[in-house]
Amino acid sequence: MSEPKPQPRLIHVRKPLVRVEMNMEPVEPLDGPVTRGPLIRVSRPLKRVTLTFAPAASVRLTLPLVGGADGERTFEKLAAIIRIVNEMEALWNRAGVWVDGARSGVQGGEVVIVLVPNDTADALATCKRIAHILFNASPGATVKVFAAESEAPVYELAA
Amino acid sequence: MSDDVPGRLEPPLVRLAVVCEDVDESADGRPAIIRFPVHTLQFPGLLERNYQVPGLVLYLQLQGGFGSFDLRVRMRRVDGSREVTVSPTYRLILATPGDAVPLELALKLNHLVFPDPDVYELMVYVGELNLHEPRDAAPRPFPPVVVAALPATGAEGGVV
Repeated sequence: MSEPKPQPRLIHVRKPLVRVEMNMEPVEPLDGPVTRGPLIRVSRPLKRVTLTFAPAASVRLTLPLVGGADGERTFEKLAAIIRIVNEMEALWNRAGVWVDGARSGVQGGEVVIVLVPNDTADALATCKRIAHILFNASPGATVKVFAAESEAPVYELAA
Repeated sequence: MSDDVPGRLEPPLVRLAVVCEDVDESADGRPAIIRFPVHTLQFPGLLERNYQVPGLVLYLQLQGGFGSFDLRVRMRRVDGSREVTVSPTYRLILATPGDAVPLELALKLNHLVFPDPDVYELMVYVGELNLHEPRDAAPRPFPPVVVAALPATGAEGGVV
């Protein structure tokens, strides 16, 4: 899959910190003198885990722009095909797919469209079925299906 | 609870409570870093009783609420058998009803004494209301903050 794009800056919304000093007092008299001591921390090493929230499966269609083809017009054609595919899916009471706008567009001499199933149930089967339709409807396109945790495609259709 | 702010009193919810060593602020005074979260500590040296720790900080996020309240921190043994220490009150004024942005406080707990090695829990009260107990407005409240104090091992250990 393509390299992840830089994340936008996280905008914090918060109020100024309110600092309060409180002198704790025992509820009952203590049974002996108080001894001050250093704080001895007891803890295990921090375990760092990265959780990437990704769709269960996705389709990535790549269509090279050959012969001076206009990228934006080609993108619109493919978007129109996807709308028709969604209408076909709806006829079978299926939820269809959505275009992941953040990962789709005209990039370096080719049009890339990433599709994600609207319903996570059977997402991989949905992606494979739609990959076939798009491959047959888009001459010259390469269509790959990715599972969520996979960097490599689990299914690929190429001329 | 008191009536410094006119209107119906609504206690806040505890959204997050963490015992730590300090909270750092960013340049604009906003809380930025929770330093050294504390969940377990150890009695130093050969000490067996009445260990006064350096001032820990209870970092607190309070959500919503409306009115003026006497906020207090209480510490008890985790089995609930006995409350061991209590703070004086801090007058908490929540003047904006329905405020979506939590209020963040760093409560420095001076003179905090652990009577003996045990597991303790810190709780925040407004008036006599324990904010960690379920109520209609908070059916699943944030739990008390647990701190375990282990017995001394005879060594000074990893002193800060």
